[in-house]
Amino acid sequence: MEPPEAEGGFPGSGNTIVIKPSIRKRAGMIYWNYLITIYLFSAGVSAGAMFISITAGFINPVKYERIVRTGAYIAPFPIMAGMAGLILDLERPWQFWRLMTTIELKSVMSLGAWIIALFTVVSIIYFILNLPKNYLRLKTRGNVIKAVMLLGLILSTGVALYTGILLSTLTARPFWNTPMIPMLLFISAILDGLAGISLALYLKPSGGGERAVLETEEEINNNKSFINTVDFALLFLLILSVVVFIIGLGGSTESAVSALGIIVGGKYTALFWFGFVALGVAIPFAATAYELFNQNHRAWLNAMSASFALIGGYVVRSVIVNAGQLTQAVLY
Amino acid sequence: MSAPPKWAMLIDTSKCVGCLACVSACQNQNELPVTEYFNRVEEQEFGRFPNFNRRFVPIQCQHCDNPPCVDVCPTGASYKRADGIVAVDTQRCIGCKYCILSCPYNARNISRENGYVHKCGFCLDLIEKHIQPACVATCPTGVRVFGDLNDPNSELSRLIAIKKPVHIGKDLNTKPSIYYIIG
Repeated sequence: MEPPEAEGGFPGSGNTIVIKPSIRKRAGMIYWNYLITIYLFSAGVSAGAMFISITAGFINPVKYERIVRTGAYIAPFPIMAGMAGLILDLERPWQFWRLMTTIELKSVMSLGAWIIALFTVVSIIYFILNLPKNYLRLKTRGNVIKAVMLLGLILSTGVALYTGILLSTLTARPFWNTPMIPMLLFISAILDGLAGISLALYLKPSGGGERAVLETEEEINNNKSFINTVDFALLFLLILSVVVFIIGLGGSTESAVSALGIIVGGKYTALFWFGFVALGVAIPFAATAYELFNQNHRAWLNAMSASFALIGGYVVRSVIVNAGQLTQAVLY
Repeated sequence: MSAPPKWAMLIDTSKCVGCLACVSACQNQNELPVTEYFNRVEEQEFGRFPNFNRRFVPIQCQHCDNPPCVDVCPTGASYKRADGIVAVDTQRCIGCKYCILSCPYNARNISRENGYVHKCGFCLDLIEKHIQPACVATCPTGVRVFGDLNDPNSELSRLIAIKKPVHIGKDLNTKPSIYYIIG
């Protein structure tokens, strides 16, 4: 027999009930490791980049041409790396094809597998359609592009949303079993995609030739103000989601309150508050607000806030994946 | 012709002394390595000195009528049988571990040797031969009663009517087939 869990204290010392596993307790084991975190993160970046690219394209494809293009060039690649991680995490990776021969309508993972497969295909088509005209010999009609964009918008929303739903539908895991998890992960995914676009736009050395002619002062300002506006709005919603998530768990059942403890005083407190809330949300929010309200665009500020947002996006997924597995519903 | 069987179990925790014979019998019956087990016994201490106590609660697959593990399975490997048993088609299991995380009772194991998920199956091969499951047969204090819920004359059906047992994790809407007398 193993000694009791340290957190419960000495059994006779209070009214607390201590559950001691008489044999090794299976709760608190990590089944989904960093590969799943990498997958959730890269799927988020891809879906977000696609979502922002298409949205900008629907609003004004000429004015926001650089955002549309950059997003289209980013979208297919992170998710491919993520899918490799997802397959490697299977205990029988060579059996992954079984996901593609069944559709289980009640299984979020089955639906998700189909959504990411379709998303990847559409993102590759969208990538090709956005290649510079001299690379593209195809003559595409406007309607075809519109259809691909609409499909891409739906699928990128699906990818960004289903990863959260995958976790939130498990009643066994109180840290996940809240509707705020999909909202939080969706908003974070769009932000990560935006950060990816923003980084690619501003870290790109201003080259010569055709591009240099296109990069007028006005164009840069247009793209920056689009990115900053969307960034500001989404970061504000993300802050609200975090607040509502914490209030929601804190005001819920015994299981939920004890699960919340893992980020309020527990194992992931520092990682959540410093790695995600401070680094990934507060600093980018302050930087974006400064840029937006002072109309003072600085490339380094933008690059820093985008990098921090990406780090925060990874950290929050890591915390969520691990915290959900280490906490569980109280049974009796 | 009587109704087909619906297998279920009653566990009376007031009789359990925590000897873990059921755990060993199960591992033996299912040929499991020592690191894998389909059932376990949780020890619970409660109260304040000098009024305190403890109990042992055996936990295993609850063979839920609304099993989350079956719903989440992306390949249809997890399924619910007509006789109430929740089973895994190990051929179709790809080892994604989603079902393990979906189970509130932590009843599922990954087989490190084979790469699939496996779990308590109510010792189906034994009950087909009209032999009690290994954990039931081996229990020295008669904690476990196994039987057919659809047979009104079974000892299980009578005890459930008399003792008014409860389900654990009831509010999770799993509708388990394991009944508990928490004593």
